[in-house]
Amino acid sequence: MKDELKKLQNELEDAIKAVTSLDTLREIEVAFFGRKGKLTNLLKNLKDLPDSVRKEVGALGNTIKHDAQVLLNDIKVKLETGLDDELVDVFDPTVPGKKPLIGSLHPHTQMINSLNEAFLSLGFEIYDGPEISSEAFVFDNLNFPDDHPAREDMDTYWLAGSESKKASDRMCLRPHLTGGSIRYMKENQPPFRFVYPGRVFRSEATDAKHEKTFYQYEALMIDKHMPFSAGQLMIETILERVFGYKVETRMRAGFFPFVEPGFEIDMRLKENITGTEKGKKLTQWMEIMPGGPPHPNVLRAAGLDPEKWQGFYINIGLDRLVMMKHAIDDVRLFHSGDIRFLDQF
Amino acid sequence: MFLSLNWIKEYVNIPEDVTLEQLSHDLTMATVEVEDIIEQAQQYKNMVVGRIVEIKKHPDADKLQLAMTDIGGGEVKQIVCGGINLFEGMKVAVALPGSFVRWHGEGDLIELKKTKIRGEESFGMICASAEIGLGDLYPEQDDREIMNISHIDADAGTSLAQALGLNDALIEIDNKSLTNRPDLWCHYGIARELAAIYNTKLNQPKLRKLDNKKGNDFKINISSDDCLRYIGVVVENIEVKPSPEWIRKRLSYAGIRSINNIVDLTNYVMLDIGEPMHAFDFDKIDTSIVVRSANLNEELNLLGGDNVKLQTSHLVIADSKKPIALAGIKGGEYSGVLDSTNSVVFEAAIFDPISIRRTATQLEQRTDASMRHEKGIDTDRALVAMERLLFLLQELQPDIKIKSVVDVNPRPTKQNKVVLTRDFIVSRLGQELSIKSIVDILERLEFTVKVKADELTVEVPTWRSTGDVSIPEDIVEEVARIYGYDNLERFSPVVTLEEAVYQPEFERVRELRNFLAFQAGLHEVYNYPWVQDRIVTNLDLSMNEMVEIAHPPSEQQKFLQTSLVTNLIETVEKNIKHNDEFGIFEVARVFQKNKTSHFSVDGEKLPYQPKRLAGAVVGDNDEEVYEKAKGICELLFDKFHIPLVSVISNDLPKWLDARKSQGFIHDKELYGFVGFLSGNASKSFGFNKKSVCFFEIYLTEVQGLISFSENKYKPLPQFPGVTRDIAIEVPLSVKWKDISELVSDSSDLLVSVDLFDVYKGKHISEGRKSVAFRLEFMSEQRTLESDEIDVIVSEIIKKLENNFEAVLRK
Repeated sequence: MKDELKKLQNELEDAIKAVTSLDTLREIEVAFFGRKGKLTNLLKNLKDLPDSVRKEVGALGNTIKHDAQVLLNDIKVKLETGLDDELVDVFDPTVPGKKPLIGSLHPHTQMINSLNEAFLSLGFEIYDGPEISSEAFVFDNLNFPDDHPAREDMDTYWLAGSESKKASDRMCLRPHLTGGSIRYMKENQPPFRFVYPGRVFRSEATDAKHEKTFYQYEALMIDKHMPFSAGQLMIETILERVFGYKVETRMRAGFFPFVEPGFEIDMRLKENITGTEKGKKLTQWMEIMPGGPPHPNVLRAAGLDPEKWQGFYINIGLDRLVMMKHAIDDVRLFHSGDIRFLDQF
Repeated sequence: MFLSLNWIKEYVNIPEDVTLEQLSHDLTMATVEVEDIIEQAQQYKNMVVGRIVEIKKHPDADKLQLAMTDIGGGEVKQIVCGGINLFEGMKVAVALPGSFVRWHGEGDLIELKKTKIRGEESFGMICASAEIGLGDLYPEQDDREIMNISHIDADAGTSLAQALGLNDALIEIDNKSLTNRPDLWCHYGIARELAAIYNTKLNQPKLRKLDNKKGNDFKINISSDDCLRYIGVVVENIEVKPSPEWIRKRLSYAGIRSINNIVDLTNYVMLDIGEPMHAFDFDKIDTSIVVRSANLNEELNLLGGDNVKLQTSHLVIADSKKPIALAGIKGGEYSGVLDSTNSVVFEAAIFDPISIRRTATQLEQRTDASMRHEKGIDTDRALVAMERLLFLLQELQPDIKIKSVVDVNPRPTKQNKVVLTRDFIVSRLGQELSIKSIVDILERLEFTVKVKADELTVEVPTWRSTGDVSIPEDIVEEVARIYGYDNLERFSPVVTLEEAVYQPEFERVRELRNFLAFQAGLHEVYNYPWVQDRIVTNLDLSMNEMVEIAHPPSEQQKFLQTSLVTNLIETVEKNIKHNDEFGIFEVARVFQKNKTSHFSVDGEKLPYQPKRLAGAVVGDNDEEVYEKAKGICELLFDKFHIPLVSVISNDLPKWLDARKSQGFIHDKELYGFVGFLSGNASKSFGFNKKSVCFFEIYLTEVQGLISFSENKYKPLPQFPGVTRDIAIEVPLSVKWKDISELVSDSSDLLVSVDLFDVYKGKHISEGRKSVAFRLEFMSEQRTLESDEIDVIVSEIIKKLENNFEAVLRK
């Protein structure tokens, strides 16, 4: 009987090798292991064997059955899933994925969004003022004396028909955002914490570093007690968002009519950032924004008592931040409307 | 502005452990921005004195020679040189390989390398003075000459810096950081600041004290309020000749060319003390000086050759007959000091800064003098400057005779007085500081302080009293910057806890942008607010509704846009060259003259400047781009709960093609549109025969329509619906709106009518189109039977046949 079993095993192995489809596989299963299958029939005779060999032959029969079933099962899985070796060769997993067609947000929008988010988490509001303003809110309220050269230096775009009238009638495309914050303060009750993103306009010759239309991001806090270091908190909030790590900053003496004392705020990036700006290595201190407590005359213009209220203001050039973040070398690209540029962000 | 470190050190003992880098940092942090420090030892590295041993012709170039040059250490090297003044035995400045020179005195510094010029080896370069920054100090007659230093007592091979005594360091300061500090436009001023920063001794300038009045044969008459002080001193027995080298050198560092010892001395004192001075030839003017407003159209020939025509707002220095100088800006040619001059009137005067600035700007005569005057110099400085000049003059020419001294001082600078408390300072610094340390800092800056309990009465020195320091906040700044901003304690502000900020309008715009970019697949663009004239003309926009710029970016861009579409047209033109199908959008303000903005306050009448959202979809087929653009808008209305519907409208902008556009309305008001430019306008733009569909939504106005109550859940259907697809053929002129209205009215069970295909062409008769749509029927009470729906559908088909000559397609 042992010989018969061995013979059956060979027969079974040959049959398994010849399997090409699930149908033939099923036929083999029925032919050998079915109720009337060859192996089943043979094993029925076990009970007639003497005790001495029954155990051994029984074990052999079970091994044959088990091994064959494992083999058949493997083949079955392959046939069912189609993962046959030959079939695997036909499928090409190296083709690129098909990305969904989407548009893009302007890099400035992305920058403003992430700055807004950071400031909102600090409890700041967002303000959005008019782009055409009167001279009163662009210069007068900001402590620019009548003859201050900055009134001319700003190269403001005045509107036609607003020559030599009173300040509230002389209108221009705003050359900076700062005056708008006085509008906000006039309409709201202190304390204040708000940011003010927006575009500004100056009559400058355009080149890779200069634009006639550019973007600023302003932040202002006014409270009963607001020491200088509050300013540094705002600054570091911005820069950490932009660069993804804590950027070293410093405040040093600077002069702007609307703040007193005035600060120039510098930053220094980590060593591993390469590239240059104005021929200076980026790891050197770089001037990035003016800031300081609003001048008492500015607080007065906003209807606040400078004896009671203190504040800190910063105004950052957004174009420059975006340029640094993405290593963009020409500011004019921002207004190019060129999808080949915009699609990269 | 460039400052000489050696010069500064004459006035202040900078602590020895302070490196140049540290000095630059300290000055930058506390006072003014140091842009660069140039050490001459570095600048002239690898440059030596050379002696020309032999001159040979260059075999291959007429204008070049081969100068065999002794560069010391027994080495004679061949250097190719084009100088026309070469001679054997001449001592020259040799820039060896590795040194930096400025080619022909222009452009960037270039590193020299051993090279061949027209086939001949050249070991470095024999320099012209301008090529190594010495053009002012050693000017050449002809720009083909090279610098001749034969007179210098130095052997070949001596370092050039040592041979020429170039052992200074030049500190470059950003002028913009000095605009509010008239006291810092000179070496003494910066030295005074450094003395305060390092708490070290300041040496006073050496002066020759003047008697208040001397002589009576010379008069000064001031007839304008714009002259605050005028000191005139007549000096005789003057010998005009070249200045000594140390003066010429210092002037050259500041970029001032040496003229003669007298003119140079006035410039030297300006750089020294910060007060611009002038010297007139006394024999050329009569015995009085008048400071007056110019007469209309009076003319004056200035030093350097410019002729200016004056107005009455300009201030001049004149004698009894004619103007001899543009006050505080530039002297006149006629009374200039020449070699033949014997007697000189020296002027130290203070003028109104605004008057000087306006005149200098109007006449385009901004000079070193006017730049200083327009910052506001205190009147005391005029006397110091005059006494300094006379001291230096007497050192150079002991035989001079001071003949007359006149000092008219009608509007002396008053010292400002500021009263404040220690608390005021401490609360702003966020830092405890004792009265003693506050007083110490202020006294280092030469402020006088009187203390009474917690109150400080601070007297500001005159040189800080012309506008710079006048209020308590200014004193805070002085204390903080000298104490060191870096040294202040850092802590987060303590703020009042407030309600959380909720500003849905900003959140919504942000989400709208995300929707358009990432769901609708459009690219966001930023455009200028002004629009090209050709677009204004082609769209026939009404110019009197448009805001105009007085001095526009260009003559063709005077108007601000009234619709974002105007500039999107240009963006489409630009992108059509590179893309077949694309979409763009912009969110920005537009400007309308005939309506007033809600931003107006305090009597303002600002033009209306609402926000708009607009876009363009570009492709090959009108129907496709229209459906895409309109689909974007309609989905946007759904998602953001904007109650707008699209309809045929008579209120659309005239530049749209009314037959191919629709308006977005609510309550009969127009809030935007979608569609095409009118045929004529469209043809005038570079659209390359592409289909371009625009849309614009009046964002500011739409914000008011949005209500959150619209966002309510609808229960899911309880019974299954039945759908039927119908395709009919109708004449091309039949509009979907009419079909859908007719169908919708046909049964209460009909819940939706959705168009899914419109087709023209093959298999469809001429002049007709196929329109396919899906009907969905549903009841809230029961499951519908197929038979009852069949009845309804055949009624619908019959209506369509009757009304639109429809033929059912099978």
